[in-house]
Amino acid sequence: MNRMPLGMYMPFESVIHSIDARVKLVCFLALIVSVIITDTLVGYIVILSTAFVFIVLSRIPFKIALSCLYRLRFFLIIIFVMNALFFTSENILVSWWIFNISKEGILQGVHVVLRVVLVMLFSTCLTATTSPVELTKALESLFRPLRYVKIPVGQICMIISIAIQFIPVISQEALLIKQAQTARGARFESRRLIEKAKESLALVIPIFLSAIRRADELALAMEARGYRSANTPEKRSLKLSLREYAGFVVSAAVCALQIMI
Amino acid sequence: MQLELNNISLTYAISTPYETKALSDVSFSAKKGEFIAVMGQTGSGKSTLLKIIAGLEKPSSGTVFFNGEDINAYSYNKAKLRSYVGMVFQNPEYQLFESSVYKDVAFGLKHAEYTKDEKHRRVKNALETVGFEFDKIKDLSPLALSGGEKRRVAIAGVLAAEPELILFDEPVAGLDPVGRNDFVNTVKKLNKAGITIIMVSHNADAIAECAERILIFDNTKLIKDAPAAKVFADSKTLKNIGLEVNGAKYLADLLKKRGMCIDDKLYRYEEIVKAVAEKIKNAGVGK
Repeated sequence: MNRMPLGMYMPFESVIHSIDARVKLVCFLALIVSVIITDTLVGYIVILSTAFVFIVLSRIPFKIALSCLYRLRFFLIIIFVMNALFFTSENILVSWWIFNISKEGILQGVHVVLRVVLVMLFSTCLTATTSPVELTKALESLFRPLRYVKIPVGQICMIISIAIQFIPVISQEALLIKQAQTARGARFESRRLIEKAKESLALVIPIFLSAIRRADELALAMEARGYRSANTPEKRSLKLSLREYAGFVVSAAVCALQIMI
Repeated sequence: MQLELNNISLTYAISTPYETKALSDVSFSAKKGEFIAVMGQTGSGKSTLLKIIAGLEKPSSGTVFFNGEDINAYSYNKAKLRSYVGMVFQNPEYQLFESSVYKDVAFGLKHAEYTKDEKHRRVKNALETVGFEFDKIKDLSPLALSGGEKRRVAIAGVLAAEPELILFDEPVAGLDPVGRNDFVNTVKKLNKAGITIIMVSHNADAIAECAERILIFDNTKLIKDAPAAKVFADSKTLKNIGLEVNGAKYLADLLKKRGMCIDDKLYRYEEIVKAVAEKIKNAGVGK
């Protein structure tokens, strides 16, 4: 684990960390909506500075926040180029074969890239300041009304939270199995695709087997400790303090601003 | 076989909130034919040490020399190292995946340029070393075997490469007493054949039965490197870092408290039994 996985939780202490996860989720949605409806320069400046302020407040090191963008650099470049090359418009600057470069196309590319960057920044801000457990609890609580239409919210959330909690466990085990197979002569770093695919069986089968074994053991352990599928998720009272209100107001303001301009 | 570790340190996830130190400033060397056991509490850096020796993890600082070559040098051929250094992981039975025991044991030989006969000889030899009858086991599915058998198949998979040095990480954890004895006898046999062994274990009985030299790790540091007899003679130091002596030595210590004087240097099961029997004989039975 020499690289931080994308969107990993970082246990600092900050204003953003201490905001209730449900409020954070709702604010996050409002901000994503604002990102999508923005299409003016002023709009982008406002929303970029909002993202900037949130990152500063959440005390995530800038290096980590930007590293997730850096890792997506090829994706960003590709979507920019695709938009710039294939956008059909009348004001064509350069045209060659099936490629048409136009002012609108380039602008469109910039828009799309900016949007992806903003969404990435906001989601980093959310997942880095909220532990996965908090996040699923928030989802559970927000989806509570769905139980009136007979959707087993409690069970679904239990499944999601177990899945999330097992990601680090299984990835740790995957790493161990990879090392074990490497130690006995597997070559995962091979360049040839077919060879790589063949070799990956040595990883995939043991990992699946162990995931199934774990699931089995966990199910038994849960039953042994008296787990009964709870249909109604626990009710958690929401205490709103200044922080939560501030979060709501800021995201609502940003969203409203984007709708107006 | 010549292994040399100089000032090895390793820190995971440097400069993130998850930064953890795994090893600090560890140096030691091993010669051909040695049997070294590594003791220490969970999280003291033992498994990391093995991975560094096997070239699976790169130390943050320090160097590892195997047969005089720096294994982390850019020009070093890691694939070659894998054929010299075998590593048996904790719960190696989880790494089995092929459709037959034969194929699984031969997995590591796939990339090596051996003739078919040579491969066959190695697989057969490896399976027999861990105590299987080759013809009976070779076509079975490894996943249908019992836990202890799976582990032996996995060990055979490492032996097939005929390494000069084998690293074992907790090889007896979860085995029944019979399985443990079988394992101890197998490693002793390998060691006698000239293979160097480095074994991490919590099981003091297994260590006492086979190791000649013991490294003790505490809190990422190597705090003791001494012959086994010396380490077991000093049960107080072991206790202070949360480790225990083997059963036989424990018994000897109890007897000593009650006034039966047994030489501190003795610690192996057979030695203690012999010493106690002699004392009883000298004192006169049924006194």
